Amino acid sequence: MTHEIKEMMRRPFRYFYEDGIAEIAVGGLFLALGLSLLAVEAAQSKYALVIVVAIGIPLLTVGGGIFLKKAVGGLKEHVTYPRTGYVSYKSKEPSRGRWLISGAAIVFTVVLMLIPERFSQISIAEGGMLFIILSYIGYRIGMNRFYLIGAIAALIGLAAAFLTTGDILGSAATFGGTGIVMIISGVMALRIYLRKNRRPNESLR
Amino acid sequence: MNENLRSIVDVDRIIHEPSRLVIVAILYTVESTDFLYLLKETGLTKGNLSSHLSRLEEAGYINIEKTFKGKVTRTICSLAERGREAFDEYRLKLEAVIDC
Repeated sequence: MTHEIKEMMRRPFRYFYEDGIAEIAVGGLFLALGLSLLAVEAAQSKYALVIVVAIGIPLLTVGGGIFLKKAVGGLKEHVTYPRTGYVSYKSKEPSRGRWLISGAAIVFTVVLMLIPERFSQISIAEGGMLFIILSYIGYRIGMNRFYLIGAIAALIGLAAAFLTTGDILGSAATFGGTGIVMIISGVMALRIYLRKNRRPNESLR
Repeated sequence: MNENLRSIVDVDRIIHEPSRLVIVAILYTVESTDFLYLLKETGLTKGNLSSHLSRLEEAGYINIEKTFKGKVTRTICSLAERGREAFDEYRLKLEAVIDC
């Protein structure tokens, strides 16, 4: 019976990802990051690189994160909550998951140092980290598609290391590719969600 | 009556009811949810869910608040501190019974 209780307690966390909206949003952010790096590579200018790295990427990640939080919340208010209900989550407390991910990152870095320098280590590292983070999310909420997306991200990182020239192009391919995969996965999840959950009458609430 | 049987008999009857157990387990992990989410997750009828929520509120285990989102009313449920303690105690008793 305790297993069933634990499963019930995991379900609200899985609910956040059921509609695919967060996935589409994060995928969009990764794609934007990949395109920014691609633009830098295309410009072939060290000034463009400095601007993107020093200003663009921090703006994209911090500002993008804030924008995404509001956008995801707004979309859920219109799409998800009227169909399947509202959930407010507690502010995150430090969990052992963060230690797990940090530990995995350290081990990964050590392994990476053994890879010959002619391969783009950065895209392998990025793909690997995305695999660790996405797999951890999949494990925590019990959603198998995150393992698959993580595995694809790792493969993209690996492929980018062998097929591209230079770290910037490799990173652009890794983030851009993973972003596209996440958007596709999120859209599919949203389609399934909308098909399964019609908007109920207002009186139900 | 031996100690193990006493643990089963003494379990919190308010939480022990299966539908209320699901409700409390869900509320334990989140800040709050609304009536519609609980309806979907429990699979209960509206009347049944309302009845269980009232019982939990009477016991002081949950808080219920009616708010407005635009023109739509939203019934928000959250676990009270007393409910949190009751659920923790219930889980410990249950684990003790199962482990023996």
